[in-house]
Amino acid sequence: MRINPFHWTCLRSLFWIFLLSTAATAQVRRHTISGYVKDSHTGEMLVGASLWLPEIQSGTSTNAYGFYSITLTQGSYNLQVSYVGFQTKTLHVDLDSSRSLNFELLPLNDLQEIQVMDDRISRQAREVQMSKIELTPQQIQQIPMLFGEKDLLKTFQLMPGVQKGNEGSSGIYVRGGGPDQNLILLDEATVYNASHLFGFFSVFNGNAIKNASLTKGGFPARYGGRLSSVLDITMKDGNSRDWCTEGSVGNISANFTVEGPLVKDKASMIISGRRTYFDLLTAPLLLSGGEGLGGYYFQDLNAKFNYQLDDRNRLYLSGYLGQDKFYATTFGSSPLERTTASLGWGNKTGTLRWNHQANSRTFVNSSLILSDYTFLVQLKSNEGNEVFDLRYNSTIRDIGVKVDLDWLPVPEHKIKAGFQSIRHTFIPTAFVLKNSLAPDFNFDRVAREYSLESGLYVEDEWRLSDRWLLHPGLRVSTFTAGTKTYARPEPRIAARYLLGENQSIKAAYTEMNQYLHLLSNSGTGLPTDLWVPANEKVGPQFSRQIALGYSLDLPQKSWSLSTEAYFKKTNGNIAYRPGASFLLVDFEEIFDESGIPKIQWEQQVISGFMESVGLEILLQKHQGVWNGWLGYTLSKTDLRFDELNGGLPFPARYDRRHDLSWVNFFDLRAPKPGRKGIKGSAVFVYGTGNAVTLPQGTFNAPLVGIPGYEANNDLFFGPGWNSTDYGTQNNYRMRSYQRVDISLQFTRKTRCGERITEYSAYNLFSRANPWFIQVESDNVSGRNRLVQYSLFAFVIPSISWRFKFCQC
Amino acid sequence: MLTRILALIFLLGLSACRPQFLDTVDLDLPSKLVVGCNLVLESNSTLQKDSLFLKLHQSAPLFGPPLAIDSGLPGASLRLIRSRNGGNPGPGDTLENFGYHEFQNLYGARIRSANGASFVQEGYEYRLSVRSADGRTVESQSTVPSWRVADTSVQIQVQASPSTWTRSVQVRVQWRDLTGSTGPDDPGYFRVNYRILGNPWYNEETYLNNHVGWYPNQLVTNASAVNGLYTWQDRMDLSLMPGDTLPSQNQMEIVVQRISPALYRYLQAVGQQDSQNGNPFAEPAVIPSNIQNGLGCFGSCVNVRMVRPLLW
Repeated sequence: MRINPFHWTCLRSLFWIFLLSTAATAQVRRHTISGYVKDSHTGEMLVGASLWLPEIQSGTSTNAYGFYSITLTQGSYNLQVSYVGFQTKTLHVDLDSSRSLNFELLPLNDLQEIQVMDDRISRQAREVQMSKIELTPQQIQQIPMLFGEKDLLKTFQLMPGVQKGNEGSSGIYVRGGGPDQNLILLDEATVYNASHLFGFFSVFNGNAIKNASLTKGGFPARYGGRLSSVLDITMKDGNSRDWCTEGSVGNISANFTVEGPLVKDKASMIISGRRTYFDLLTAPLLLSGGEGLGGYYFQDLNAKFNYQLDDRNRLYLSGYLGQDKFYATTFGSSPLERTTASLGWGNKTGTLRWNHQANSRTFVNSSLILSDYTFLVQLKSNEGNEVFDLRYNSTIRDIGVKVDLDWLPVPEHKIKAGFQSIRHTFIPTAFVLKNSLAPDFNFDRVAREYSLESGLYVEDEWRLSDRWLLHPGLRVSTFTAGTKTYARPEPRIAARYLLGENQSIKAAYTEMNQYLHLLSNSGTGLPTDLWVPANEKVGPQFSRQIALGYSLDLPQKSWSLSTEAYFKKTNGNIAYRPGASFLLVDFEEIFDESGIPKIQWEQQVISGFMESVGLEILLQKHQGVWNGWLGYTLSKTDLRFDELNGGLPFPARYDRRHDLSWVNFFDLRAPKPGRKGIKGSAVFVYGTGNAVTLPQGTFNAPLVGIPGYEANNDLFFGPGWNSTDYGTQNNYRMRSYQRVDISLQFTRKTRCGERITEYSAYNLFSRANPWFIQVESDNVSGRNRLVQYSLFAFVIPSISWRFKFCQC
Repeated sequence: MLTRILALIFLLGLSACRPQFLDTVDLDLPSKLVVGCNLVLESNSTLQKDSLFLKLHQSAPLFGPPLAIDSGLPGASLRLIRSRNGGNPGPGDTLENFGYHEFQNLYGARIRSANGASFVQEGYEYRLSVRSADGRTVESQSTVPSWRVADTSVQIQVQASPSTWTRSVQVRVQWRDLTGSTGPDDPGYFRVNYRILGNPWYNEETYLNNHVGWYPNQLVTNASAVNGLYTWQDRMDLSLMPGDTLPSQNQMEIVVQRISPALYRYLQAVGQQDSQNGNPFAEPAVIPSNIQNGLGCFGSCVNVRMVRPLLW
């Protein structure tokens, strides 16, 4: 294991200071209040609800399962419990012994929501965690989207430090990192490909989501395995009081959710499904008549069950199943002649969790986690005796266990510790079989690789004084693939210093390791990316990130300002070697006679470095008739590979110097009986154009170094090779990206629920934003020219209709 | 009704989804000088017996007036200066009397001195500068590898398949590299070439693998060495017409080269580009260049040549 002297010194110092401070505070007589905070209507646990004690200007918040614990000296307190979108509850507590207190908060109705300030925002400056963004389902539902499809990832794209990929894509690039460097967790299970329809939509069904947070830097030690971000999504538990249904019908898909109590206040469930009707709408436009059939669809299914065993124990079982599929079949002149093609990918996840409250200060969660991602292309053609069979697949399958402990021994310390272990199974092989005489090819001959990834962590949120808050942590990660084992410490530290009541400066330093690589082919538009493990030939990715920030809250005006500067350096980034390809055209080139791959992925990749530096500004107005946020990012991201660009640094494809998002919500009119409520929203986005490699010219590469073709005194030098001069890597900037979207929502409240009709327009001003550029020849002049293509060059209108009804 | 509305909206959206031809941008990119030159050191060889040749032409920019990619550039001035171990060049270390041969756009200069010594010597660093008639200048440099080789051997095995009139010729070459790595940039790069001499159908003036894409494994790195001993093998299949008769004996010529790193990378990229052959799943193979401000390759190599009988 690599532990340098700096790490040791830091660890020793922290250990001694911790012991001394704990011993000093242990002498005072203290009592603990603990319990859960719930939604009074649905019984859902509220994640991150705030518990605040004005007398001592201190507090805590609920964990991912709604549990809180706070230890105080004997005395009288006013305990304020608050959460976004809920009425704040205040309770006077005469604390003379430890006790359990569960809170149920009432949701604000729309009118109250406009008028009532949420005092949680007044404490953003007090939090030590930097670079973290949280979104509520209400925010996601109000932002206009392409085809009216509400999308969690596209909403995060509107935040500073988070950039989108191509037009319409739901992929996120966080602080210069690639999409593979984002850890996407759905109820703790890893989602390896979070996109539908080649990235136009994400796999997350908004109706099934309770909470989502994105951490871009200053990572707590409990997170590991990715370099750039952690997107932690929690599914709803299911309404434990009443049966409810919720659904929507949009331009391209519909979804339906049902949730309710299996045993009231003891067990509940939620099932939510979504499916596109692309194939139904496009069927007449595609293959028709007796010639064939084809189409595309994606579908999702989320399900979750929970059961409260007793006051201290609760079980959760949740799962996700998603699939994308293109399919087409054509028929020949005889019944035996047919060609079938399909392209599909999908995630499956499953999580079994056990919450156990060991005592008033200790909470334990244990999880068993399953995840599976598969991508498969298949093409089969039968024409008499001739068989053409093509298959390409990539699979990653995980099974893991995880234990997390929350321990709050004294008010000054909030300690989290735990471990995680995941067994990965990779099938990264891709191949082509052409005009085979062996149509029953044994599919089991694909190569498999196994690896074990583990992590052990401890972290402490440590209040040193009224102004200083320190958050040290250490994660030790290990990874074993084949005969190679990596074991690396990952120190994390964050600090906050209060400058006044509502402003603070923050700093964070993190080291991260990533043991999985995603090989992305730049030559195709297909999701042909392969997940592969680090091994003895290709090492893991490693990053260091330092961030400095300033935070200001103006609670009376409901404003907050957050600015952060960061510097991130990673190594071990991999890319395909120039000229390399996984998908070869001759089966014999891939496997030898015994089925062992002759060409291994390690030979096809090169390793390099990435540096990203940036400044992020987020100005938010949290409540009021007009609210929203303005996010701006100034950044620079360079890559460097010895084998690319002559070894010189070059800008990453999504290096974006300026990125601006302006999101506005207008709560125009609250719904009342007999009167529709009206909400509006408007979004403006601007981004510097993507960097792309633009060929500079063609040339005849001379034949040199080959005897027989050069310098034979007879002046025969050979014809050379016609080649392309690509110039430097990513040498051209596409035009900037600008877009304005708007929406209007009309809400009608009924006795048992509500109906919402939304009208929205994507790209209101029909701006022709660049999608890709291409060199084309002008037939008249014979000269080449650069042509820009746009995907959505016109305004895209959409209508959707949502409803929600509960028992009444 | 709802289905009709949705279908209408979908069709409207679909019409907007088509890629639109929206804009063109004319870029005025300059043409670059393209240089091809290789310094060859070989005892008992006809290669560069008297002259060193350099190919010079220019690239055709993708934008701007059309320009042939192999258009000649007469009137250029060329200079090649050699030095050893960073020392200053002395008398006789500069070669600049290059003549222009319009055929193939070649420049050539005599490299033998009066006493028969070649201008190309192992271990020397050569700096090349080219100035075209229109004032464009490119520069490059290359060091001729010092190579000590031993234990060379060749095995040739011919398998006949009378029913299909083919001959499968397997060639196995071994050599021991006594020089090894000369630095991080030059771990030891090799190339093997072979050809059949004296066959009425395959009497090759050029080598069978003269076009690098024909056989993918022509380039060898030190990763394939075991205790400094390199083994390289290849197979070629010859198809004959029924009734053809083979001569009783042919010869096979094998050339093993230690090549400079720049030449290795250049040939490797050219081979990759050739083998891609339109494969859409392949990454673009960028042809590297060690010509400053230009394109092409200024390389060097040391050759060992062997001729062995080929028994059908």
